[in-house]
Amino acid sequence: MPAPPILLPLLWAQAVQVRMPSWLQWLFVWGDPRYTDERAFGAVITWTKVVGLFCLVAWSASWLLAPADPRLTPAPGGRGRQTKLMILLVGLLGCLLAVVLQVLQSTRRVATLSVAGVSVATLQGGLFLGLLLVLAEYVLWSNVRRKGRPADLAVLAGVHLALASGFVVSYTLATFGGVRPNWPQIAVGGAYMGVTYMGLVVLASIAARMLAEVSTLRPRRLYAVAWHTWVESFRRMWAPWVVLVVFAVILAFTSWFLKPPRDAELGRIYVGTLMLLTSILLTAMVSILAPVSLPQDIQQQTIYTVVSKPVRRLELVWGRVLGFMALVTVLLLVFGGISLAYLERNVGSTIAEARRKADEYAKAGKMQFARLKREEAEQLETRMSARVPVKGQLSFLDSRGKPKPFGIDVGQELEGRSFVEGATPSMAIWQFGFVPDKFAPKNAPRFLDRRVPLEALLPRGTIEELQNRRAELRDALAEAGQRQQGADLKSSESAALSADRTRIADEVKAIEAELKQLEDRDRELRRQAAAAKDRATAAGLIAQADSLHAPPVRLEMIFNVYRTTKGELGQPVYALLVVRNPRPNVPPHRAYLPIHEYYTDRQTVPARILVGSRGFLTIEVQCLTPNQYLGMAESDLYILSSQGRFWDNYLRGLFGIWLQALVLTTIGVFAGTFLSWPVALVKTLAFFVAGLAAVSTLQTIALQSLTGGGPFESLIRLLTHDNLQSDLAPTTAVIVAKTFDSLVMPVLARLVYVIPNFASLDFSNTVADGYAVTWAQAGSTLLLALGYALPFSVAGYFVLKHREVAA
Amino acid sequence: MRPAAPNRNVAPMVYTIGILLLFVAMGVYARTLEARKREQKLGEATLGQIDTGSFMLKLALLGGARGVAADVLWLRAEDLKKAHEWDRLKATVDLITKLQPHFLSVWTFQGWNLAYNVSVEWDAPEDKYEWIKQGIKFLKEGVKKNERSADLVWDTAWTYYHKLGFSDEAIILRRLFRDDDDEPFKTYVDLDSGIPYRRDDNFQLGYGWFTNAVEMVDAGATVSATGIQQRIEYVDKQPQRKGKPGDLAFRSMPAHAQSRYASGLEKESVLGVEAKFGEEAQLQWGKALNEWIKFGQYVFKAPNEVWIGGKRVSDQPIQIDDVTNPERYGKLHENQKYWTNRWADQMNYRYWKDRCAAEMEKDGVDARRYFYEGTKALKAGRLVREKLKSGEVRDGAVENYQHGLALWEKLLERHADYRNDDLNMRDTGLIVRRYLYALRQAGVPEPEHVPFKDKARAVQGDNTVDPFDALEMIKTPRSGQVAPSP
Repeated sequence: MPAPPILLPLLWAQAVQVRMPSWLQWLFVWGDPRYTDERAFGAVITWTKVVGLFCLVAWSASWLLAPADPRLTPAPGGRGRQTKLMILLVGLLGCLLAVVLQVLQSTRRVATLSVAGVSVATLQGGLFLGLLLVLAEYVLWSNVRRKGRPADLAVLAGVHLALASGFVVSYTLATFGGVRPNWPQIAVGGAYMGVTYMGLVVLASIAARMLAEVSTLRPRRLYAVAWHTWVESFRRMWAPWVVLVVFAVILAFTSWFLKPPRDAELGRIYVGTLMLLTSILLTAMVSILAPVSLPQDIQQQTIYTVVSKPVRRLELVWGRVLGFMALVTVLLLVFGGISLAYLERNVGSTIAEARRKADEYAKAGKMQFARLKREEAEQLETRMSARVPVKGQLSFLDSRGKPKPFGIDVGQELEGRSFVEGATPSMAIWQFGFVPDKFAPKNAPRFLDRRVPLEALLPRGTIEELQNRRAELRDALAEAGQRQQGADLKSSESAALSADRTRIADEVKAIEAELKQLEDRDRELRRQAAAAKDRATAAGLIAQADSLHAPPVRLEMIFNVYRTTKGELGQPVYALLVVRNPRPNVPPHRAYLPIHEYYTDRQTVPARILVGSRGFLTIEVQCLTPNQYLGMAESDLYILSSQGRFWDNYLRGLFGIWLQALVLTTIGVFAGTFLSWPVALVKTLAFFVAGLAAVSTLQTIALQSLTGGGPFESLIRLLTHDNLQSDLAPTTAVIVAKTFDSLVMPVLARLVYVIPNFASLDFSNTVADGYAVTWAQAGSTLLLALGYALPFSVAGYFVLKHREVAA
Repeated sequence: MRPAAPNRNVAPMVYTIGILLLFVAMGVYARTLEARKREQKLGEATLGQIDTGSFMLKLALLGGARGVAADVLWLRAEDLKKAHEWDRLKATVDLITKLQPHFLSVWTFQGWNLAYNVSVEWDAPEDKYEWIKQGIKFLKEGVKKNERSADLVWDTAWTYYHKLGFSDEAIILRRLFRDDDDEPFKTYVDLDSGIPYRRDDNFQLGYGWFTNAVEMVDAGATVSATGIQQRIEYVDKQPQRKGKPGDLAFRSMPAHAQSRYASGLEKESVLGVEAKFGEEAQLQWGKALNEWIKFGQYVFKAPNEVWIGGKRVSDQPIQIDDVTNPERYGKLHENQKYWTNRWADQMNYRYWKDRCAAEMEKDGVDARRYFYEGTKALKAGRLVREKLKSGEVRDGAVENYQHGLALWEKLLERHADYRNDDLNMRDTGLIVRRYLYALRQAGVPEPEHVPFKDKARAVQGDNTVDPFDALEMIKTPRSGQVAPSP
């Protein structure tokens, strides 16, 4: 197995100098939750580790809080129980005091005290945490021994073994290559890895139990639960009808609230709004229906009838999810249909009107208004399609012609675009092919596959496709020839190469014959067109000749203009665009274009530029107007590989909403398994709101880049009108606030793993901008949604299993 | 004794009676409020047009949530501005105004934001024009919803006048305005008569809206005098920014807009549109003169108090026009003279009044026509008189400047204030410099008497061109390649 391409932390810095075996690297990747493999499956590894850690917490909590067997434990209020409670209180108080001491030291209210280089607060915290761990260990062992089955005991043993292996791996990593051991680092690293391995052990045990449970699932029972859920959803508050009516009413009056300023943006704003409306209505619907369903069954005691039947608890959970999702699917299709009809009626008519106006203005000689209207129509048409862009990698040459990763910063607030200076050697270069990843660490360079998809751009049987095949075969022929001439070639290998060369040469001949035929036909058609007497015949002949060629390559670009002087009044800034094929004998394609800021500029390049390129291409853009600057980002120029239909892209966009609803449904059903319906409802709605609005804040907390302290310190700053940067005076209130923050912030930081990031399941901007939602994108988003939905539904199953609903 | 069991029907009855009483009290109070609103012209309908969308949104976000929602939208608008999402910015701003249609600062700030900040981010003049138009339409929407706000009327006027008329691309923007077929955008309704006026020039629209703003302030002053305004206690009173007593600039704007329109007629201030002279120009300058006199005769109040005959006198009347009327000026108190003079200087009143008076004369308009033709001939390289193939004789730059300057000299003898003003000296100097340049280029000896020759010397190093004259700014196919500046 190849070693994982990871950026090792400083702790393991020696590993860079000394080649570490791949098994050790894999142990590290699976052990430390903060690092992962940087390939695509790295995310799955992280997910597994995080879910494992949550499993560990849940498993430990379930055993620590498990009601002890009355036969084996002293009676409540007995000495053993009191002692444990005392130890727990002392431990918690000790930890709290350690936090207070730490805050006092950091605010310089007390001097920092340290013993042997370690601060007293840390020592105190460690000591009391240790005490709590010992208590937990004791309770765990006693509870599992008394109540657990052999399998539980095996998990307990496995967990301890995992902890020990964490320290062993940590020691091995830290001392690899004969480095002297650094014990505190080994201890910290060991703790991280040990806990992660523990989580993986618990996860494995849960996975094994789940596999057994899944094997007992029966579609008939799942269907029955799902159908029951469907029927119930219609009975309960007529929810689907209400949602449908609200959608229709809002849609009917959209024009009251939403008036796009320019027709060019009408489609974009309408598409965005319709998808937002669909998303809010459906997610709100499942947020209300899903958490209420199970608790009401329990409350009305109808669940007794169900669980007394041979229905598995997992079927109860997944069946409900299936039922709700069937409802969501039907509603989504209805909403999608209505939205598409609405868009067709509004945007379609606006496009026709813009075209009519453009012609009218052109006739009246109002050329600027004519351009504006034409651009509007084109913009709308482009957005109402599904473009598949092929993006290259952008790098720059500065005004002296030196290569730079970024261009000039002209001081815009968001630094997404950098600029090239006019009438200087400065240029932006998009490279297609295997390009070095700009963001890879210097000691581990990486290449990205950004090749132009020739198979999509050169249709089979066209002149350019045949020329391309011929060029590639000729290359192969030359390569085989070179290899044959090389030294140390066995006779069998040489013979094989000879056979190869003969085969390739035959293929080349066949292609050349085909090509000649097509080229002759092309010439003949064009000659006839030149000689044709009427225009229609000539045009028909030219169209026939064109059909023998591959369609031209379409480039789209949107550039920003930054003017240092007004320049010549009314004149646009000009750019030079050069498309180069790396093959030496292919002449580059040049185009001069006036830049229309914020509009999509389009260029077509003859397909012959791709012949023999193997997907490697360079596109250079220079600003030609002196004293002016052109701004661009990597995604501002791309090759259009295809332009699909809007309606199916819109439906793929709705799939994102379906996934949002799926995640919320599982959260709702999970909440319903252990909470009463009002609390479950509030909890699900809280997840919904937090997933929409709080994810970025939680990410800031998790990355520890929050300025101005945690919620309690921020409250003080709000009340005292202190800014985010100023140091607060260490008053008692501030100390208390900081102490609370120290306790709350680690919990908030972990929430980032629990609160679903709904924005990342949202395709509305992609669809509204007229770009295709690819199947790969949809697939990876599905995985992400399942990453949330699966753990929640499994957790729901375990809660329901251990809950005495039918008692 | 066992305590009596509470009657279970008492509590619901008490609640019901309580609810009914509250309803009755509310009804009575609402009727009183309605009556007061009607009496003091405070109803929604009297503030401006009622918008159904706005009403529904306000209904959906009852009470304080409206303010929070508006705040969130405002922050979102700022983020969208940073991200250059202009159309979404506008849509968001529209939502804010739906939530708080009578919060004037939103209209003022965001109208300015669209017309000035957003438009400048676009490169093509037609796109700039589109966003200035969005800003103006936004302000006009604000006026519809707040018909009593003179501030918003003034903001609308200012954007028509200044953003379209004084931008670097003004000559192109003014052309786009002229070509625009959006009738309502090119129409203003005179507040006094209620008559709609459709105009092709942004300065005329500016004039109309400025005039309305002044009239509204004057009407408000009348209401104020009757004491109705004083009786209204506003919870969140929005200060009036424009048209306060002593706001000279505010009152002078109709005159400025009309003067700009008149002067714009006599050059190619609209790209591709020939200058206009003759009676039309005379008429417009005459109208401008009237506006200046109207401004000059408005009675301002002196801001200080003086002792006259042992009495403390405040609010002494000041009419700026008195500086041009020695007889009236002579009769003024020293304090009045001081303020009349100071404000006349501040507004450059003498110059504007005398300029209008001079330019409206036939000689003035003719002189301007000669200068225009002279410059056109100079730019086309036609330096001296030539005979066309048709037999027609056409004057060159030299002859045109000669005739023009002769008329100009005679005219300015009658208008000393205009003649001696620095602005005029510079303008005249630049014309004379062109004349001398044409003479040199044509090899024609300089005549003994060149009017205002000294002014040409004063502007020798001045290479600026008139940014509001397409003849100087653009290489139009009609005028050919621009000759190097003399």
